[in-house]
Amino acid sequence: MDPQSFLFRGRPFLRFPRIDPHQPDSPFVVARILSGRYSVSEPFAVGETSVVLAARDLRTDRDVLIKAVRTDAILPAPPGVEPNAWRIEELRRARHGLQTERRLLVRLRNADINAVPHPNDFVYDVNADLDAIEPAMADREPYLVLQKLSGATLEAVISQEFPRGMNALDAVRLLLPIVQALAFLEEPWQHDAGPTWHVVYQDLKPANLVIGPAGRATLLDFGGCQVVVNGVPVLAGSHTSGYSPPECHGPPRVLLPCADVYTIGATFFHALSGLDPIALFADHVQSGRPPGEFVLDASALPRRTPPPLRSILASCLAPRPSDRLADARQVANQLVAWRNSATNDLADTP
Amino acid sequence: MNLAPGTRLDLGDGSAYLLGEPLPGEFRLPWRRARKLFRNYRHADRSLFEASAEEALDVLIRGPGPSPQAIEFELKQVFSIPGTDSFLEPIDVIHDDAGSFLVVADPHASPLREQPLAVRADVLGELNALLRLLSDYRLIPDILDPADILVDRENRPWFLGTDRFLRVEANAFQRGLTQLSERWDDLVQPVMPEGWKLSRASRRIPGSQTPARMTLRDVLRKLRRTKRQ
Repeated sequence: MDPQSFLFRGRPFLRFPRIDPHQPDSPFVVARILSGRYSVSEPFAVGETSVVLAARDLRTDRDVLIKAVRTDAILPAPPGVEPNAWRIEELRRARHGLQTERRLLVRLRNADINAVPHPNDFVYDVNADLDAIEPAMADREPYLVLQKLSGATLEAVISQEFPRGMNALDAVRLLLPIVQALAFLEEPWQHDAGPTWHVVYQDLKPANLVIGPAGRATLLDFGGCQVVVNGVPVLAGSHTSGYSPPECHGPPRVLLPCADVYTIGATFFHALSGLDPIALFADHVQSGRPPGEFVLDASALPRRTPPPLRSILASCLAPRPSDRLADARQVANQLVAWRNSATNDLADTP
Repeated sequence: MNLAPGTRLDLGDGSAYLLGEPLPGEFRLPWRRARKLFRNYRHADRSLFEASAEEALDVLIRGPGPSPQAIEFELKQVFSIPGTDSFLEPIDVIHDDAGSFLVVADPHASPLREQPLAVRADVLGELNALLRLLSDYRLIPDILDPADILVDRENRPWFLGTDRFLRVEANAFQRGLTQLSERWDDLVQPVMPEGWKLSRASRRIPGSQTPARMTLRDVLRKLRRTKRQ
């Protein structure tokens, strides 16, 4: 995608006419050098409400990724609402979401959890597209600078190398640090200033896990988290049908940590069986059944899956939230116990 | 520059750090803990303000030293090697009248010496692979010190000694590999029982036959090897 270059306030800017391949009219504008330091080259990944840009940190001479709000993705104002006021409010929400993502990453990294990307920086620059709407807001466009990871997604690893599923112990070794990261994320976060945050990651799936050079997994994309502050939902986040539990379908509601428990079960299901839950969900919907009735069946796990692990995953994939393990911490504890016993069994084998 | 704990470093472009205590350990250059301060956006008056201390990011700052040129070499030649995730993520470089400082991510890890023996063995196996990878780029350390190796709670090794590497000329490479073997022994002896050897799978230090970079295939091979065990 070749960007157009132009000058704005005497500085070079880039305009990508169609940043979203699925949206013909999706222009995105960004300063060529963000905050005097990050040289933007091209879009790296495009989401529904944000874009990740490939860039170079001129100070450390390292490749980085920069997450930004997609101003083109703001939905049109509903009837009776003044369009500019609507747009400004939606942008405020989106910017707050990016700031929240930084806060979550910082909290995890400060708590010794290295299985998430490092939030290198959080800078502000001009958004030339907003200048005509509100100059004061245009000068404060936020950008989250993230470590660029090397490796491949777990989705690609399963599809290319484990189409019939991975070994159970390998899968647990790979995913346990991620489950432990979710367990920490779900713990209520009492801020010094008073409010308490409750966070559900909500979108665990192999496509959100990068397997690095040493075979360790890193969890991506905290923009999909549901964040509830003092009982009030402030970020709805997002989920992926096939991996998400039945309660994610239908009208929006506040999710409990057991929603993450289901996605943990679904991710293990994919890793152990090679069966893609997204494809299974598509088959389900195509057959005319309601999306909210889709659940993954732990009995479809390969016969080689050890019964204790199968039992843990069945407790994750229960359709009713109250029948599941309560949160990622409970899943992690059970996985650790199973891993330890399985490792001891291996060690005892003559 | 005042490096006392509590000192604030303002870089003038919105970046600011709050210096903390020195990192315990015997390093060639001093390391200290620090916190990177962020700014938040207040929509009500469209202003930026400094986020509270609980939103600050823990980082490590090394310095003063070495020279700006040495840090440039380190960033361009060592940190840029693909196929490893054992280096701390560099996030800033500060040049000041007191010298040059490198800011990296804080892994909240503890020294190799403090780990159980089995963890030390695993970590040394990974470090050996890292040294083989670096030697493929003719990068040889002038010293290997256990103090430069930290291990996090997932038993993941973090290598702080990126300033120890020099690029050897092609005609001195064989000698460099021999020196690397000797330095490997210097690294292992203080932390492992006498006579300990790496497992056969990762024994070779002079590693010119290893792939130039770890690829996805290498990772999968590693996973498969685990599967067979």
